[in-house]
Amino acid sequence: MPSLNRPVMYASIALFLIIHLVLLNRIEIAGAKPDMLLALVVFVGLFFGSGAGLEAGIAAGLGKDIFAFDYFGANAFLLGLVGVIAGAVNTKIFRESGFTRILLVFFFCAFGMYARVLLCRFVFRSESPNIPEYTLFSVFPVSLYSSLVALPIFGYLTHVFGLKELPDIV
Amino acid sequence: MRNKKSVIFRSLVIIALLVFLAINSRTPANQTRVDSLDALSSPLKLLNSAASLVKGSMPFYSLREENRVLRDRINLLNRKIETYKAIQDENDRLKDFLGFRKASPYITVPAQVIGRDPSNWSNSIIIDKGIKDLVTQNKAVISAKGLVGRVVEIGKNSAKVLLVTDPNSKVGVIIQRNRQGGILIGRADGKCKMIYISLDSDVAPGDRVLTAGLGTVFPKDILVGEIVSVGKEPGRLYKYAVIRTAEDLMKLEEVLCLR
Repeated sequence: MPSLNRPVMYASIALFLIIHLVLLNRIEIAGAKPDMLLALVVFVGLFFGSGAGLEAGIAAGLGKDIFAFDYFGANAFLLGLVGVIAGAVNTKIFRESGFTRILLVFFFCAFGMYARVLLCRFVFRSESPNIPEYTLFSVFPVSLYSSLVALPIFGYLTHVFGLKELPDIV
Repeated sequence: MRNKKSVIFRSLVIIALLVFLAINSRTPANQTRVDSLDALSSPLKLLNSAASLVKGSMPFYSLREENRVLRDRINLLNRKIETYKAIQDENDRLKDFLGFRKASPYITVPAQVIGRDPSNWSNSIIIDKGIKDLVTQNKAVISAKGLVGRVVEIGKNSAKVLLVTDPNSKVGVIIQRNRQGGILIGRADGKCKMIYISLDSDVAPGDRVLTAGLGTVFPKDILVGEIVSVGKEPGRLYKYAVIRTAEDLMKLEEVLCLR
């Protein structure tokens, strides 16, 4: 497994957080914004393992927690969990395939959003959303949007982390 | 062995985070976050200015800007007409009463939007005014077109505004045409939903929705938006209406905080 370049990881988290704060509202579609930080956490987990995924998830989540109006720590917990799971599956899938990456980000995004509902119901004891409506108007569009945006993000991260794509075996 | 240790460590970190969340779960408002946000508000303001500068250098910017100013002026005038209509309606309803309180004009603090909620679960904005500028918590925030939300967290130089489209936002509202009341809640797709509309009420797409003025947060008769569709969920004893907000909350740049 390649070694993690931490300055690059934290700089990427800061950059993506700034994009989330200042620019993403301009490319919202029907209230859905692509979750670039989640794509980053999935990438770090996939290529650098569970420990790095957890670290990236907690850092990115804390950044989100400062600027969002949500229970403090909720994003850190969910992104940390996503990072650990992404790290656990890193050797079990063909992570170089674009289709696999799209599917993975879609899955992790939906997983994070449903896990948020479980947190609402069992930890925060607050009102949880209507599940069919939440799936239709929130989970599906956000996961789809994030998974499509994940491809260029993965390309960018592969470049900044200095990971070389393996040549196709003919 | 080393692998087993690292798995235990990761599990412990996740459990610790969950315990922290459970302890911290009474309210989303958090003083640590207010202080951190306050410290970060100046760089955020700078970043926002830089983004505006880049936007300003785009072609036809001056024409777009002029267009925007003129549109804002039209919206302001439309809002005034709305207010006069609401006053007229109120006058008609209350003319039989001897004394009624004159609707007092709002005292507002203009603020700039310097940041947006980075998550997809909540819908809030960060503004560049705080306690120093006499912005107060739990007061309504409006724009030239209509209602925006309310102040939920406040620091010295910045504040967080929960938008009416946030699923945790609840506002008492009425339909302008027939004064039918209901509760406005946010929906994830950037629209709102008015619930608890009685089944026999006459509600139709195109009806305008105003704040009801119940409670101390939102003053009466502020335009919220327009009904897009009306429906009934199975098993419920009331109708609901999907509402498009008067202001495009995704492109909000300036707001007015009520004092």
